[in-house]
Amino acid sequence: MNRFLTRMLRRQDFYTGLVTILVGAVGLFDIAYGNWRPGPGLGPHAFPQLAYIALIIAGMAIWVDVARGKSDERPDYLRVSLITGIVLVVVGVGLFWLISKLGLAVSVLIALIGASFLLTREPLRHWPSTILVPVLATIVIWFLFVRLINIPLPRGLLF
Amino acid sequence: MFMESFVDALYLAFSPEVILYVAIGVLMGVTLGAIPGLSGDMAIAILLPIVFFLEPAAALGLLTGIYKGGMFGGSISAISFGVPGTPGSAATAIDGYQAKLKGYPNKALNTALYSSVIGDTTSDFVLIFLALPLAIVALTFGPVEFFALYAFSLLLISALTKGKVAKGVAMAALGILLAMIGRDPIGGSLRLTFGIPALSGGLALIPVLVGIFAVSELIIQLGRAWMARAQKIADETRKRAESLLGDYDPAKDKLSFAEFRATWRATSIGTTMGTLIGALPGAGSSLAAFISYGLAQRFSRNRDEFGKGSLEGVAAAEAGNSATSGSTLIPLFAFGIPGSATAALFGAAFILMGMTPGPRLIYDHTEVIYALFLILIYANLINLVFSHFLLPLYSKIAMIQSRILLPIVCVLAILGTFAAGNSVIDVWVLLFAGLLGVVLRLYSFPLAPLILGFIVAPGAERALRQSLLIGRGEWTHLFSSPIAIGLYATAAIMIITFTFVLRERK
Amino acid sequence: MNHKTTILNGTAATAAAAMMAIAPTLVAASPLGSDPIRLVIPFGPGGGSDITARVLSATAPEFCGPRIDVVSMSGAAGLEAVNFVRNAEPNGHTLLVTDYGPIVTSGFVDDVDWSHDDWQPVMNFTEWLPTVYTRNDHEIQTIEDWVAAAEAEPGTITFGHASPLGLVHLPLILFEMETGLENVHVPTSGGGETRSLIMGGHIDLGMTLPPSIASEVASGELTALGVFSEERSPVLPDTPTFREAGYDVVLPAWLMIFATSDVPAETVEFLQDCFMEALASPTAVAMSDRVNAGIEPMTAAQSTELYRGTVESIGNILRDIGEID
Repeated sequence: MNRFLTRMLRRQDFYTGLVTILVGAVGLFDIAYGNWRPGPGLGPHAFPQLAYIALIIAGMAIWVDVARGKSDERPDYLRVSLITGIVLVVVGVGLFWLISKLGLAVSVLIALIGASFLLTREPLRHWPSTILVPVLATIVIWFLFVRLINIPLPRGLLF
Repeated sequence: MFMESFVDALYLAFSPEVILYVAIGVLMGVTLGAIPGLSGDMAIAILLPIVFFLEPAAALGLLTGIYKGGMFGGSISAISFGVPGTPGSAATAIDGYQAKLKGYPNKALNTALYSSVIGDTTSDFVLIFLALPLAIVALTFGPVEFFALYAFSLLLISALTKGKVAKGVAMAALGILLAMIGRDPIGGSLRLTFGIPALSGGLALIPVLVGIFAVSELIIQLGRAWMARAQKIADETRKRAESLLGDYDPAKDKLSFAEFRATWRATSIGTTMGTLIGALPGAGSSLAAFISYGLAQRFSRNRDEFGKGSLEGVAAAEAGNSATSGSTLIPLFAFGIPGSATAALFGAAFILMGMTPGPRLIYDHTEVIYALFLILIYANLINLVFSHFLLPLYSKIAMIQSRILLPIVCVLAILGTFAAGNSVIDVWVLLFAGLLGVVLRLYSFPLAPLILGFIVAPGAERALRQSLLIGRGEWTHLFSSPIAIGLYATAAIMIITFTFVLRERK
Repeated sequence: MNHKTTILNGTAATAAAAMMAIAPTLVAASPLGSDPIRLVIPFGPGGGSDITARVLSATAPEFCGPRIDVVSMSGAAGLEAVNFVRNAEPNGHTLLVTDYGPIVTSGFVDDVDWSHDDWQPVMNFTEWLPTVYTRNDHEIQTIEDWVAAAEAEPGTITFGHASPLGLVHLPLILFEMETGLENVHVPTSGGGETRSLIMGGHIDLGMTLPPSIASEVASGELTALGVFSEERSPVLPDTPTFREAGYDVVLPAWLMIFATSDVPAETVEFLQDCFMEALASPTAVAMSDRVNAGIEPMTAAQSTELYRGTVESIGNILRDIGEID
């Protein structure tokens, strides 16, 4: 029994199943005790409730799979992908802030050149792809979004 | 009378001016559709005012061209970068992108193009010849029947998650929960907004879909590109990095007729499902694409290839997506009811030209409508020819090194999503959906069921609760319609077939 | 050669059309700059508000100066559009075009940081009259039939209306408060769904705005029972008002252009004048007829009165049904 448990605990999917069950349980708890207004007929909580129950059942099924020896591997590139994701969110927020200060063309150009310099080794030697391409791309983007579509750029709307 | 209007319509539809507008439209549509977030719908919305100043046939030609081009254009970025350009092409991304990774972007793109044009053309013929009978079927779909259809679609999730049913169900549940954020459509109270007023309108489809599928893929690729730069790469790879295209060899990447013929079954499944689902008000092209993909996988001889770059998968998804294009106009022509966002925009265009959508349309404006029918058909040809010549270029673009392309695609996805709804909230949703997508991808959760849950949940909930309101709370009301019973029965038969019969055949 | 000229003419026509939309013709003594004016609508593109606003955006540049864009922002149930206009510079270049839902109703029920006094109407396009309708073979064909059926068996008639507490739901609530009748309220995703449910025989009655059913009523496929307004709708001249039938329930909707209240009075006045002038031009009248928009412009002063009245009556209904206190 003990060996079975330690084997379970070493599997990646034991934890994904646990998180799945926890999300479902917290949701059901919220429906039972949270501030849900009753509505006509089934009420607004019926469908979320169904989804939470499905989550718990799915989590259990993941555990059953783990017990039968089926589990997905620990992910590669976990940390680098998560860091890149967070950086992209920050850059996205920053981009909109920059657009409201400097305008679309300048902000996009800065973002593109910055990114190419980060991703290319010896960026200056590869100047056609790290400087020329971003400039051309910026011109196209500016023409498309500002001249043709004229998107209502956010002003002081950030938060 | 008929011949006379038909000849007039021929002159209208094939006047050089109209052909020119169709061609411009197709080019614009393909280009805009290829940009994640931007779709043909948005281009049509922007160009609506032009309708005031053009001849009706020319205006309809322009809009039709954009619409058809956009339908196909979405699959270009889906295949090239794993980043669906339009909601309808999300299912195309599953296998198309895998094919590209194997070095066959051109094959996948060509399969997508041909199946898209086949699906689209078939659907146009259905619109022209069967609009009325099909529209009557569409009207018999009330809440009870719609709920049965949505329940049926959710059951197909098991088909989309071969070998990962548990995780698939978890993802579908998560998709349903994401769709519940915002105002309850029946009672009007807020739910699951966590006290954030910006969420009171719920999450829009485009940012969630582009975020989960596209931004997450971009983030993972950006992460790898950064790793590749940070670590010392081997000499060989470095040499490859010197040339813009790496070691891509276009000569090996040509779609043969035998390969295309092998996708025929998938294309017909997609065409049928797309046409039927497109005719139902409110079901939509992404649902059609996913259902076609799921069914084609179940009925394919090479089921194991799905998800690993199967051309059948590309063909089914793309045919299903494009086959909604003609039939989505059926409720509009038959009853003046717009069944989708695109149909609503076409309806607005008719109104702006002084033509009221509905059954009278074809009698009151016979020539223009016949001309529109002709344009619908030949716009497919123009799309085919243009795209055929452009595809080699697109597949080369797809193979340009990621360090150059990724930042541009990212910026386009962010700006395109903003432009689609003019909403900053959508951009935040996009970025956070991207983060969520990364986590889910890394822990091997399948993403398609999440999107299917997200698309189906609002309609399913509304249909179920409407049915119970109409049926005074009696659950038996759900079985009060032969169509609904038929759908449940089909679902049951399919499950039994899949579990017992098809499992034997490998 | 002949062909070529046709193509060129066509392109020239588009170019001219595009120029009309893009090139700013400056008008003397204008308090506006040369930046475009944005008419922000809190709904998706293609609907009635969009189409009506586009009549103005196509004709007004000639009279107002800058080009005019219609921008659709349906995010956060329309509140994003309202916030966008509220946070824009108060120079008259960013205006809100809306019915009473996102501004009057939301101002009461949603958690917003503005009040109804923070907005001033610039002009009103039109009044929309909520209309109750059904299919032509339904047993209920008049207001009297409806009342009789609802009294005979309360709570059996199914009534489709778009989103709860919207333009075509509040009149029903008001009518039930007035008469004590009970119906089954079936919320739908919008006018299109209501109509297909009625035509498919899934529900009994529904409510919508006249332009969307006018042609079916004229051809006899749909029957309009009654209109919740003081006078009959010009689009449905044969449909009685509920007031005629003896029920004093009037709750018309409007489509108004709003500026924030910190926009200078002379800017608002200039906009009102040039918009009214543009809508009175023959082109605008022809367009309005063509799209069945029924545009009957009202000045800022008249609109303000209408706006205040609506704020009061919606507030009363919402208090009566316990939505707000």
